[in-house]
Amino acid sequence: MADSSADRLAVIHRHLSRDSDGKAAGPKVPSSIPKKRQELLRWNGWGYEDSGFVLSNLGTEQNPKYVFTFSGSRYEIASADLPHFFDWAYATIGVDPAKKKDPQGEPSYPPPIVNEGFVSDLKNTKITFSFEGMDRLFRAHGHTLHDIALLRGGQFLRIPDVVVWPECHSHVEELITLASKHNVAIVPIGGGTNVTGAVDCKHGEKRMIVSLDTSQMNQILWIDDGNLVAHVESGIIGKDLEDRLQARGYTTGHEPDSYEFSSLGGWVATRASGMKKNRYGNIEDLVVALRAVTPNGEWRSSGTYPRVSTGPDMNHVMIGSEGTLGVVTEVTIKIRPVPPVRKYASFVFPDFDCGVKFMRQVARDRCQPASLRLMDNQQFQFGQALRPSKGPFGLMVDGLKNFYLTRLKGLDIEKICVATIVMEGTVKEVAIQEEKLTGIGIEFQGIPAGEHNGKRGYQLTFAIAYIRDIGLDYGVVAESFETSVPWDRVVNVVNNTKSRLEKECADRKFSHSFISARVTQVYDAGACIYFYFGFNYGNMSMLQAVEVYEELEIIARDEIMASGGSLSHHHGVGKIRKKWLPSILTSNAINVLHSIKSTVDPQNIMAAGNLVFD
Amino acid sequence: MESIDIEKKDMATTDPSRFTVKDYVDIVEKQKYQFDAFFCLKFWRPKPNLHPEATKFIADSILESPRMKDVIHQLLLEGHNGVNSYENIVVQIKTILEEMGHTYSLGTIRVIGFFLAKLLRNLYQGVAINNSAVLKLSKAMSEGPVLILPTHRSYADFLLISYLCYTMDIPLPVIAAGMDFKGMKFVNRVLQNAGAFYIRRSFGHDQLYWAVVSQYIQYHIKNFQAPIEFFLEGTRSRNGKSLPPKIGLLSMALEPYFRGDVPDIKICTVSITYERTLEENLYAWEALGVPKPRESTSGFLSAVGKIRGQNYGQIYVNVSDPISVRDHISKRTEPNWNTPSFRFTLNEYEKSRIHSLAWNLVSKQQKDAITPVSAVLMSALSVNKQLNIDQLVEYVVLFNSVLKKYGTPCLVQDDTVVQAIKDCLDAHKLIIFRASNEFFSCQPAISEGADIQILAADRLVLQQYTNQLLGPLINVAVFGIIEAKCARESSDIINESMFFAKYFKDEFILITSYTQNDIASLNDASNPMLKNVLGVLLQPFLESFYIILHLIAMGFSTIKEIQLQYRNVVSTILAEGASSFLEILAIDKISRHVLNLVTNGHLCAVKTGNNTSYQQMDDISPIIVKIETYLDERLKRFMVSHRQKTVLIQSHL
Repeated sequence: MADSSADRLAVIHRHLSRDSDGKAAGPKVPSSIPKKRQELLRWNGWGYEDSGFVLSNLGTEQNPKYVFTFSGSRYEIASADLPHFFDWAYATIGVDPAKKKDPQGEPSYPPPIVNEGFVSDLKNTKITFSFEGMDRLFRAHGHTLHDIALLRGGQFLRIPDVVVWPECHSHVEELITLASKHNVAIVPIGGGTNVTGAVDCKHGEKRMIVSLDTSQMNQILWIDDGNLVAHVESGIIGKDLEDRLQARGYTTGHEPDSYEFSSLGGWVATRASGMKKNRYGNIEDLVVALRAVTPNGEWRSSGTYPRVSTGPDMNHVMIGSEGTLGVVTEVTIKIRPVPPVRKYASFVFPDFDCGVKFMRQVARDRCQPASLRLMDNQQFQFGQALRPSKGPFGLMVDGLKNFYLTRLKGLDIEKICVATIVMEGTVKEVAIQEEKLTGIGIEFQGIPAGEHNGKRGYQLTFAIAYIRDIGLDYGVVAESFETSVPWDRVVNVVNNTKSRLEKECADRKFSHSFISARVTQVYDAGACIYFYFGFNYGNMSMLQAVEVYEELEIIARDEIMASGGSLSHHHGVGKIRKKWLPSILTSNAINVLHSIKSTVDPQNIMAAGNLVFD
Repeated sequence: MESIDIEKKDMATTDPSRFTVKDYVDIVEKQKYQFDAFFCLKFWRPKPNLHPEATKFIADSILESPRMKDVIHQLLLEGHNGVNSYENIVVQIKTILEEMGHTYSLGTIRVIGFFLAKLLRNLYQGVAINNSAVLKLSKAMSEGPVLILPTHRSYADFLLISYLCYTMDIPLPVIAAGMDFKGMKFVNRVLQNAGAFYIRRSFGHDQLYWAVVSQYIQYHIKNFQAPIEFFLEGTRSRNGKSLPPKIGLLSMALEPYFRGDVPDIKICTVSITYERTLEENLYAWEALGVPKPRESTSGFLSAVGKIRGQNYGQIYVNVSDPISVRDHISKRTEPNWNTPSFRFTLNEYEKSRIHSLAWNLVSKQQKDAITPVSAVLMSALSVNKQLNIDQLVEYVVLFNSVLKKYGTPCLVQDDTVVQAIKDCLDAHKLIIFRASNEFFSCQPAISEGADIQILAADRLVLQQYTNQLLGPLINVAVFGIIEAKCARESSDIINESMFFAKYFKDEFILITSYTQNDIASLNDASNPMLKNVLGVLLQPFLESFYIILHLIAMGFSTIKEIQLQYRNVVSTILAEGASSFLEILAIDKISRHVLNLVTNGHLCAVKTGNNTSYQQMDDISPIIVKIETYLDERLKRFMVSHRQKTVLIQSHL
């Protein structure tokens, strides 16, 4: 350019300096979770350090009176004592306060394998990194029972050798280029809430393992009100995303139970599902476009189009790739205006069958509310056990309700199940939904059980995740697993799996065990079922118990699949479900996966080792 | 860079004799026998037209635009200078819009029309305009957004365009004006009511301001109710030649096309020439370095008082056929995959195409400018001590024949040429005087002790007119001196022409290097009389460049230093008679040459605080040597000895 205006223009453009991605230079909004996660989060269990179940003795040593409480102030459940919970835990799962099993302290860490060339190149970048033991350990695991047991009383044989914190797409590009150059393995990690061993290090990996922590790529790059999409860096934590969007009057509506800790990129990489998918969609419905870095270069959508017909959807190569093909860096995700009304509701059904029929009819009529869940009797009982203390008047009301249900309506308290409902929309929309659902509910012998019961069910969702830690404190190993099932097999899968596990527990002579199921999602063609299974391991060691548990989980999965259920609805395959893939995928499909891998990552830099990959 | 040939289409479809007097109408003449009051109350309802309440909509529409919202949220996120709430920034935006925005009102326009009609009739003999193009412009307006890009030689330019639109039933343009007008109380209001909006001269670092201005301009493009008018040259050209284009506003205005907000944008260039410019003396003094007076209402009124009753001759307006941007620059098809449309930015290719388009547009403006008769007269009189009417007619006829090819000839015909020359001599009676009964001259006898500045100012007034001839005929002029001085072989001529094209591009917009074909046609056009005139006119430019190069080579590195040294050196040169061109006292060329040397990679701008200094990137003495070939021995000797002296003094110190 030849004149002063050209200079001026150059200055202007430099100032407005967006890089080629249309990203503005500016201060970053920090993540609500620090780089040193251990400063806020529990290093050997779930969630926030300051939150969790606590069992304390309010009586004397001779005349003990045990009561559970929930610590901290983050959750609704923490506001009151839980007077009924100890009785339930004692009777159902054999919690014995005398047999508390404290976890081990901070373990020693295996020395890192160091690739000198990589490390010296890494030091020349602007990317921060850490060799500290706790940082490495924190990223060596997800939240399988196995992972947590090792943290509490075992030793990881292999943990990442270094943790790196890229801050934008180009940092990830730099890192992967360096990793390829020096033949170093990369395992990406978002929130680290997986329950499939997806970020666990392969024992056989001889190369240096770099844990690529996406948490510092956490900016909302833009919000497009006109098209209702937001372009967001992949490392943003669900809660941050939601808070920042709500400040602008929007929501993604994607609310997996882990959303306080899990990340956008993690959702994409595992094909996550949210509680309110009926209204907002699962992650694959929400992602409009995405961008990722593979060892062979950038992978991205062609544009932010509403739908295209340009051959197979290449977004799906990355959605569900579980960190084996590349690192998702930016995602264009649908957003919705925050609905003016959210209303809860619940129905009591005489038995699980009726409940499932109700769910089926709702799906058939396509009138699914934002969320719709069906708890079996065990979970209903469990939920009752977690109800807070109330004054005498409250007890009386409970008594009356009980009387009404069992005596007047003739329901068997040992058989009933409960559907909980979240409705969102305008006042009018919600009213119409409620009317419809009530009609269907009554048709299948349901009794409306009020807003309060529905609301509590959802409030407990996030707190319940803390329960496994307290179980481990008292010799109980537990885990949840999910499946998706066509409608006609839902009841069979639940019954068969429960029956099979009950038999296995009886064979092994466990003193106490707990098996429960709920239907958490409905689709046109089927439903998602969530199982909770735990047992009291008595005199076994914890690590032995975990081995037994894994055996039983395999048996349960075989039973699920034999009865018509899938390998996974939304947890993913990771490492723990790899062995089933050859039997459910055709050899063509497996070969295609391998071809993709050899195209984008011939050196196996992305060495998480999930899905069909080593 | 591929150049954009905006002429191609026109050439194919237009009859070459389009600039005959027949096509032109006189819009002042039309009014002469009508009461001005009738004129200002005439039925006027062009389509489309700005909504009378437009100003209100514009603010709301800009505040609601996704781009603006996005910028606000970004500023909030960055937490800049006291910005703490959305409302706070909205208030800032409203303030900017209030300061900037036009307050278009038909009432004011009618009142202005009344006074303008009076003023134009009072000052000018007539305003000639090519009617057929105006009809095309009017038609283009009904089809989509139109940019009107006039040349800028006088404040009268935008009054004239608005007047013209009013007369010809075209929606009045909204006009981008410099913020300096804001200083004129009352007048600024009047201009705002007439559709002018004010933008700051530089706002590169102000993201909010940038966003508001671009949204403001783009609002008018997207909701095309009125044409947008701005000056590609960015400022009034004080020397009668086109200035290099400024790209900023054009980029902003074209962005909606590249983003796909509008299917096309049409551009009409308007070349306005004056037989006599209102500001002729002011410009001359500015070129000598006397600062431009601050715009003020009293200054404006006293200026109006001064010019009243004087004869400023004829005005010529040549409106180009609408140029479709779509025909010249295609939009990108590759997806903008992760940038929303409100964060659209022009890519490098688009920027370079707009840059190229801008240069072609100013070239077109320069080429389309109807040469005023005074340009030919003064050029002839610069070379000849005195000439009579017959000789002057001969010059006009001669130059018109060449201008047909390289520019736009004077708007005269065989039967009107004598009258045109007489009118012109009458308008310029202050500088062209009657030397004897029949002869005219513009070279007064220089008396001893006359102030060289005053003499130079007079020469610079003349140069404003002679440049209007040299501008379009620059290639002919350069060809003449190359041929005369050194080269006979066509390959040599081509090489030399490349040199001039490279270093005088910012001075003479139309300058090009030659092809074999060019040489053939330049040969046809050459005529000794013509070559002589053009050579003399070009000479001071070469001398100025030569002196500037020496000063840079001596190590002066800021514009200020160079200006100061230049003035001293040139004063001595003139005093010692090393040059006979008083024009070289003008310092306005310095910054253009320096920036050109930056573009060509010889200098590099280094910014320290508010000062910019220019560091030499390579040895510029080859350029000095080259230009020396074309100069008078006396000047060469002077500069060489001047440098030796300076070196001596420095070594003594």
